[in-house]
Amino acid sequence: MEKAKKENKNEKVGPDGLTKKERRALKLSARPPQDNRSATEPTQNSLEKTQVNKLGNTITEIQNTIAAISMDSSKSLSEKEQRRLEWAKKLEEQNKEKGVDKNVSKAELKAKRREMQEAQRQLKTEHSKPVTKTPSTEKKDVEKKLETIQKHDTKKVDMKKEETKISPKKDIKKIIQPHKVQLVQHLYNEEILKLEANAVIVHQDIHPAFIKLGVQYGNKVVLGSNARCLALLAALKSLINDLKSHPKQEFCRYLETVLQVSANYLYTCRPFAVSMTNALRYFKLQLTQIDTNLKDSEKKAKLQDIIDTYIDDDINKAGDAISMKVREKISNGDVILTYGCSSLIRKILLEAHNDGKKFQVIVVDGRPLLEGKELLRRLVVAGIKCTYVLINALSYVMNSVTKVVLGAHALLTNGYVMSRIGTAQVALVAREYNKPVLVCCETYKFSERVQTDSFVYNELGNPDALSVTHINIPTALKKWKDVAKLTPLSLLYDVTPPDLVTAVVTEIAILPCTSVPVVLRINASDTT
Amino acid sequence: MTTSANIQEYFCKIIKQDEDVSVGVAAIRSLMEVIKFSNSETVQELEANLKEAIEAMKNTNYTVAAINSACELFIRFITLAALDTRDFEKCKKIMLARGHLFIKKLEEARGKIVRLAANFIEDGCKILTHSRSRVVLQTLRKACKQNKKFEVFVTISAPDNSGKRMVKDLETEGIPCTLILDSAIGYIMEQVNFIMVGAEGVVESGGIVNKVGSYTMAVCAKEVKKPFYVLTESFKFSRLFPLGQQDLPEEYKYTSDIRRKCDLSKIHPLVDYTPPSYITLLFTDLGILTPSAVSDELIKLYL
Amino acid sequence: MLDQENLSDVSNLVSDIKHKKIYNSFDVALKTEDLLEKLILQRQWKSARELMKLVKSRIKFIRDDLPTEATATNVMRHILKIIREEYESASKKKGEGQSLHQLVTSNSSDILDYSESLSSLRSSILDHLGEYKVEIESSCDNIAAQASEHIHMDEMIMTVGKSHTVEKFLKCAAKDRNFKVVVVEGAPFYYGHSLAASLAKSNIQTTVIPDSAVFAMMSRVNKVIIGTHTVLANGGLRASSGIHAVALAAKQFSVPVVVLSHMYKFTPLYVVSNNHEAFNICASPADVIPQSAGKILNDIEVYNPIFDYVPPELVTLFISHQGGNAPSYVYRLLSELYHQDDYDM
Repeated sequence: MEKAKKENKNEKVGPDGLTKKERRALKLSARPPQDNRSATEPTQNSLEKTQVNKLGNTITEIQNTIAAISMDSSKSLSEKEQRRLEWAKKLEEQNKEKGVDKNVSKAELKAKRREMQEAQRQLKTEHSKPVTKTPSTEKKDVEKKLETIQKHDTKKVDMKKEETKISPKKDIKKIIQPHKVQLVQHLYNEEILKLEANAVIVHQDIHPAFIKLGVQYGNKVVLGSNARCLALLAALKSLINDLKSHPKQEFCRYLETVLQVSANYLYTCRPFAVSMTNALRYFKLQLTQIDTNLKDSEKKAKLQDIIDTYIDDDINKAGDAISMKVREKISNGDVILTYGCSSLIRKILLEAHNDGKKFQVIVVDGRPLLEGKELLRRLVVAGIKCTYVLINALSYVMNSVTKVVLGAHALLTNGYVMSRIGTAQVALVAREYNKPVLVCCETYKFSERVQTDSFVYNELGNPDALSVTHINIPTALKKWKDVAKLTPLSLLYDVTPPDLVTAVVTEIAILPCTSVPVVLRINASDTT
Repeated sequence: MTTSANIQEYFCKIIKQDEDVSVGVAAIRSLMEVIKFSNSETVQELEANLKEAIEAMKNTNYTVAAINSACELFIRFITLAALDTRDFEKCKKIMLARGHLFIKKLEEARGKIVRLAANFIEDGCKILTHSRSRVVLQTLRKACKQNKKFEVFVTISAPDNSGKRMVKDLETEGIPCTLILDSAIGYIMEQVNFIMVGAEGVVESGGIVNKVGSYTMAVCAKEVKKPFYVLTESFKFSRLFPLGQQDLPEEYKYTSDIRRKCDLSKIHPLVDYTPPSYITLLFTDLGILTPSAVSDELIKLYL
Repeated sequence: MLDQENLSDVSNLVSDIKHKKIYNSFDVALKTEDLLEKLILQRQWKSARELMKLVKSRIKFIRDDLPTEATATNVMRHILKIIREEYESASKKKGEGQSLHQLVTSNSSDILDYSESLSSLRSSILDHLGEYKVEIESSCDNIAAQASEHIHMDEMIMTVGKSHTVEKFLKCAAKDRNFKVVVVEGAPFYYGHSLAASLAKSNIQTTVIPDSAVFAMMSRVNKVIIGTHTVLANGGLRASSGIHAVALAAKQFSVPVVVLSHMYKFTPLYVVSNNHEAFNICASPADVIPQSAGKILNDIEVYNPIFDYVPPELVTLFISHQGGNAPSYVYRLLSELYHQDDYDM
């Protein structure tokens, strides 16, 4: 409530802890909507009657829209709502002129109008709205609202409750939008989806391997685009293995539907990596090409085989080929800088070391994930001489570096490299010091998407991870949730423009970034 | 009576006698000589005499840029001195006395620059230089005497191949050096730590006029983000503002012989202009300057 | 004449700085001014030359003991200039600087040696010092007062770590402008967190991002406003580590980089290439990787540099209490602040 006070300075709070506005809203919604409808005169012609009916409806609807438009409603929708409100207002004025509002007291009408204006104002400031609720439940909701307002300071309502009923605290929050960076508002959906996912866990149609995978994705236990793709394919294999033939449906069709459900579930846990999308697409394409005359067990074997070949060719062999190509470029005495923890880079460095190349590695790491530590550990165990710095020390170490080798999440058609947040900065500093930047990426991670900034498509990390130091000591940021205007923002990826990248190493060849569409074209013509 | 021929002879003699004297100092010394033996009776006459002498010196085959700026400075010096007194004989005395002081300072200038610039040379660094500059050579000598270990790359610097002499000079000092082709500047740039060149003239913009090829080197350096240091005495500052290579005065670009005899469109220029954006720092006897400070100094003197 | 005991005042100052008893450059500046004021008042000196010798020995002491400390030596350098000026005006003699103009016009070979004993010198220097002290004290407010000239409505401002000057500047701008601030946390020191918390409490919309998100965020930022440790003679910066990358990203997206700096941060030193050893200091690696990481620590090198060198071409503007200046004008500010002979000792 303190927060509300802060936001609406001129709003007075009554003894019951409610603001004037809220009390008014309660009063208004307590009145049955039928009141208005019965008040209309039967002598009106049909058009006017419907209009008046509409008025009654619109008023209730407006009341709903104040608090009740679905979370992910786009801006255009809210504009639509706004237009509707304007329309309703006009209608009301028309009716007033015609004297249809005789039965409605002037004071009441005034109140209503004020309500509507308020609604409009709120709509204007607001961009996304809380979860939908039906008009019939509204009254109940308001009662609940009252309840929760009163026991407001008894901390947070548990998550599931918050999902099903809308706590007023959340309502207020939505209006002022604290702790959400406007720039990336479209990315916050993930949080809600995650909550929904918890509800879906009980879903029976989903193979346990997928459910486990979903949790692993969500908790970021399985991290890195290669690992995520491999895990997905492994889950897919066990699904195929365990899937019983459907009495009516053909096996492959049935598998497709089951897979779709599972994929949807996974998506709610965490958006797909490009590697996963591409692998799934490939698999589905193969699924359609299976000979329908085969026995189910044969189909199973064949599908398993397809997956194994994919893993082997597109991931493992591709990795080997890339490793070989990069090894050629590593010479004795090199100082190689890398960022984060790419499984491919790890493989390359370890293999180059085993090959007898003498080189040093500088592992640069970025908060809050600090994945580089894992890479560091593995390299040190293998006996490679390593240096570890955080990303702020980039300029300090870059001078001594001879090559920069980076991993990628995906390569986009316009030549941009999508990778762990911080990669672009490493490439930028490397260019300043004239160091060659090699991005290693299997072609199965090439994407047809184009992107020029890091906001349109991205994922958000856990903001809480920012409020502690690397050894989990809370900082001045720890109480960020209490300060409305303070928001930690943790993005997971950034895109590196092609002019910062010297070359992309793929299993096909060492290529310039600009050749991504060429590779995509060739790959497409191969598979079809 | 001082004639043009006499002046030219005197001027050339100074340069030939002393290897280390710079053209600008030689020009000013010659002008001092003019004042000493001039039988003019007014300041105006004296100035006319001096201008004549300057023209004469410009017609020798030495670089006009240095002569020009040094003489310009000297003329300014004369006019400022002339303001002090009305009595011409007294005025002349003052001029001569101050002139000697002036020349003394100019001769000290190089030592100051060398002191400043030698600090920038560190153990193990690789330096690229162009052509042969006395002040660069002395700086390298000094750094070597400070027991610093470094390596120098010298461009051969066509057409007069002065880089060869530079390499010879460095080798006698025991400084490891490599002679490179002028066309290999781009290749070598990646390995060097910084570039150190002299200048024939520093212009109002803070840019320099120097042996042809300097501009190429500066552009390369900028691309690879290597510092481009210029070592130059402050008497080389001149009030010229070239807009580009074409805009450089022809007397700067070609010797007087060539200007007289040849079709200039077919002849290679001797110097080029390096704009200030390519220059990291200028080491002068006035201290270490950023290119923007050059104009400041010139404004203070001439306005 | 000068033994170690004479320098006890400055050695106390140095140890206070070393042990972070005085942390903020503003406090260092005031302490230094105070120190010299006492020196001038209490020590026996007969001429400006003797006094200058006393001050110079202190500068040398700090330079040898704390090579990266610039504020204290800058204040002392400036006071040297004050002594020179007061001496010159008292003795009615003109000192010699290094300029083309001087080169041409100087007519005497006698050099001002500041040896004359002048009775009025002490009081006039102290007067001048008083003015200087006021200048230091009001510097922060004067910089903050310019905020509304640089921040417009609805801007997105990025800043790094924590600077008191920047904090004041932003809060001052927030009085009549509505804007958003993105604070880069500045790991592993996390100064950005406390700045962000303080700004948010003053009702400024504040977003905290990790250092790795600078490039991604920069495309939406309108201005980068930072503080610095030192402004170097070529217009470059010695700023906290990570700022070089921020400035590069700003350049990439053509975002102006505004540096707030007090006059006492302008230092007449040129960075001798990117030699980090002479320029930088490293903090404990434990801030980067915890001791609990165990055996692995024996096999790796960890760096935790405090500073970054930012070249002048990445800086758009300096704002000092006198107003805004381009990096190309720093040479001039320096020559106004210090006497050329005191640049390097």
